[in-house]
Amino acid sequence: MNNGLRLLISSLIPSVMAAAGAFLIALLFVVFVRQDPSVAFTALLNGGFVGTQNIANTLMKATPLILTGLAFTIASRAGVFNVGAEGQLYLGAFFSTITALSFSELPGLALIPISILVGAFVGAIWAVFPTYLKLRFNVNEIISTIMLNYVAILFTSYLVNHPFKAKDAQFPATEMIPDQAFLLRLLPPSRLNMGFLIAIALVILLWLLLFKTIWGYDFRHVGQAPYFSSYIGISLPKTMLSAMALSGAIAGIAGAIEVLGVHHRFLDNFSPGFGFTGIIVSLLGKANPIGDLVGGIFLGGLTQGALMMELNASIGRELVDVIKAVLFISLAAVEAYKPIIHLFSDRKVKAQDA
Amino acid sequence: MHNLAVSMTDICKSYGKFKANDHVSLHVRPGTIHCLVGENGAGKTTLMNILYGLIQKDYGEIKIFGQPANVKNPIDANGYGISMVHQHFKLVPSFTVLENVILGTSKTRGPLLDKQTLEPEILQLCNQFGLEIDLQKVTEDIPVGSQQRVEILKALYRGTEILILDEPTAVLTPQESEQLFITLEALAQSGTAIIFITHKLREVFRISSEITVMRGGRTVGTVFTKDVTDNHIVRMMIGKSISLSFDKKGFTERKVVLSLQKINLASSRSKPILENVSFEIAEGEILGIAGIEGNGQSELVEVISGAQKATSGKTILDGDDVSHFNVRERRNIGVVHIPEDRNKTGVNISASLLENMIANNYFMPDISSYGFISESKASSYTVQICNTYNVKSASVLAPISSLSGGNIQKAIVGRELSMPRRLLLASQPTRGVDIGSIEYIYSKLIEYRNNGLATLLVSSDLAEILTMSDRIAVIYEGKIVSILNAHETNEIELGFLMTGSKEN
Ligand SMILES: Nc1ncnc2c1ncn2[C@@H]1O[C@H](COP(=O)(O)OP(=O)(O)OP(=O)(O)O)[C@@H](O)[C@H]1O
Ligand SMILES: [Mg+2]
Repeated sequence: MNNGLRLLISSLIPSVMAAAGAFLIALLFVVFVRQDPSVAFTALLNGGFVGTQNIANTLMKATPLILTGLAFTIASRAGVFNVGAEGQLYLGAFFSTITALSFSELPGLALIPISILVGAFVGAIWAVFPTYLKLRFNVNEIISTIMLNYVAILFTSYLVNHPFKAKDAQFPATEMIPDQAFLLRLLPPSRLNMGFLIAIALVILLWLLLFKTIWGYDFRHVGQAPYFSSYIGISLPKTMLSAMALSGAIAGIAGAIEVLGVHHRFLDNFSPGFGFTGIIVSLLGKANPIGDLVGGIFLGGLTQGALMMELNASIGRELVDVIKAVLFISLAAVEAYKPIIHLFSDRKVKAQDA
Repeated sequence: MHNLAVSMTDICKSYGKFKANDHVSLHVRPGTIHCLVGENGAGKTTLMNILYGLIQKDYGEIKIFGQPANVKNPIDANGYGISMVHQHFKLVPSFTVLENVILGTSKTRGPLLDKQTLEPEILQLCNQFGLEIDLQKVTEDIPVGSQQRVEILKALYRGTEILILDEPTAVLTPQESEQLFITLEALAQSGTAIIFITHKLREVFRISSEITVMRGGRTVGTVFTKDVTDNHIVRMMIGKSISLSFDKKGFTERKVVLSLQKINLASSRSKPILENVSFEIAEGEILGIAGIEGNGQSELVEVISGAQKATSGKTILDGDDVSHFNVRERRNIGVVHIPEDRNKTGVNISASLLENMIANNYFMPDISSYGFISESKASSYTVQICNTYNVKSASVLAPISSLSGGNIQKAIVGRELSMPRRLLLASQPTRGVDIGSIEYIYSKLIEYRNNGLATLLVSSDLAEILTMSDRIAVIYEGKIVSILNAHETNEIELGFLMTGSKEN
């Protein structure tokens, strides 16, 4: 146990170092534009993590990030990289909007789950397609999922600009969904809603799935040791397809929750890159659902804090984008260089040889 | 030059309460090949990792050429002229051989690699020590034997005076091993001290001039090879002598378990990998496959296990055509499999011992219910395998990479044989396993055979094939060239057939 704890802590070191490094570089930026870093960072952290409304807004902004983080996590555990959460999220959001609009006579108790499930289903299909291409034609899923993002974003953009544009809207948006489809707001005036609780539930479910069930066993072993997995009879295609379907479904749910909980309609270009930030969340959280929860809240807090910082200290909120970028680069570098790092410092790995 | 290249005295290393090295001493002369032998888990790798700076000793003294040495990491070790060839090579797979050799050395000026000037120097080294390697090839494309030569070349290029090889021959064919021995002898001639770990006594007597025996974390003693016999060494290693002869009982009535009918496996190249392979294995029979590695044995096993689909032909198991069954469907009707590549295929090296032990039945009611894996059931199942097959591990949750190589192999054997079984596919089942455990694994294989298990045994060790098999099929270029009764043939005849020479 003691040992397990130590292992856990040592595995978190890269995340913590990356976060610290990112803050340091952001600090240089602040100094560079001749602002007082202590003012900037106090405003940033206070805005994100102090006060009920600030915290509520942090959690609201964290919700889609936790979910897209989970989406990346579940696929990468099975050895497939879903960089397409952004597109899956857009399609999920759009089709769940359409569902909510089409069945407006249904009561909320039926309409909400149906709309969310439709979002999940569409997201899943959008993720399964590139996985099929990978398995059948050996198309690299990183490239194809990135490309499919553009298809999804532009497709929904067309739909919301033309056939589905609300008559009275000044900007590209669908009609408002019926009231009974709104997710309950938890701490108004903040737009924090039931979606956050759904995210928490999914964190717990996916953690159980990954570490306690036979399906999680399949996912993890296929991702870590494909040769071993096929030798013991796990079907790699089936496992990768189901991991990707699950991943896409979660991204679709993230989109549905943004609509049902936050905007109440589909807005053109509503996502500030939730799908991509989810990758950072998953890398920060070490591909563990609990880590995604923490990482999502951390990045949600930074986004919320950035707004407050801009308001109170008049430092551009783009500072947080710098932090995110540096985080991503350093975390990705750690992942990419893992084999080489091992090559030189095997002390912990010990003799895997005989 | 000092008369001892390496002098390790009273080395201690503990993991918790467990003493992996307990006052171990090892003294190696320059220009000699010194074998380090002992049972699985005796502490050989641990001792070498200490010398190479991969792990830190708790106590003891190391002198290199008479000077006290403080080896904190492999870079220090290189500074002292020490190199180590691990059983699992530490090469960058996507680099060329040349790039791997010069990686991390600072012999170039400026930021750019000057491969042209370095190449002749490296070629010269290859020639001097009889290392045949194509420097331009990408490392992952060359066979293991050549990859190992790259490791040795790397060591030579860094100017090694002390070379450690941890079970280098475990992954080599007998031919590749012989090539390695010639290189090592040339190296020793030029003054290098070589420490060589192996479980094969034949090799010990083939190349070493001195032998140090370890047991249970301690040194039993060091002897001159010319003064001892293999029996002597075995007794030092495990405290008793061993006989590798068994009581095989014959069967009167034999039901066929496995029948292969005209199996063909095409390849993208012109020659097929398997061509019209047909044979039968009966209940209570061990069929050995003899052949030089790379003649289709691995693929044959994969076709039977279900990992590869044959291009044509039928696989019949207990009278049923299972040609279209996948791996799991075949496992569920009693096909168990000890794979040839222990670390890549046989286990998930990044997982715990427990997760590796439940690989065959985590989805069955004995381990899980409603999809949830029961930790207590899984752990008592693991403990049971470890007890029956004498697998030594700190705990069931320990990462399997913390087990010694031989213990990992025993764990795999135990895992496979603990399942309901009709047909055993055993590829190199005793690779990297100590003599005591070999005897144990053999006795298990014979016991199951006597109880009716059909076994396909693939091994590059002819002695193993001859002792264990009832019949022997010789494979050459994907064809079964001959099937012989084991007691009517010998190594010479087999060796002859394996190279494709016809008898008459
Ligand atoms: N990091 C570790 N944690 C706990 N136990 C360890 C660790 N490393 C080694 N051991 C234990 O120390 C013992 C000696 O291991 P070592 O690898 O040196 O054996 P070996 O003589 O090389 O055996 P083999 O012939 O099987 O390779 C083993 O029982 C192993 O389980
Ligand atoms: Mg060892």
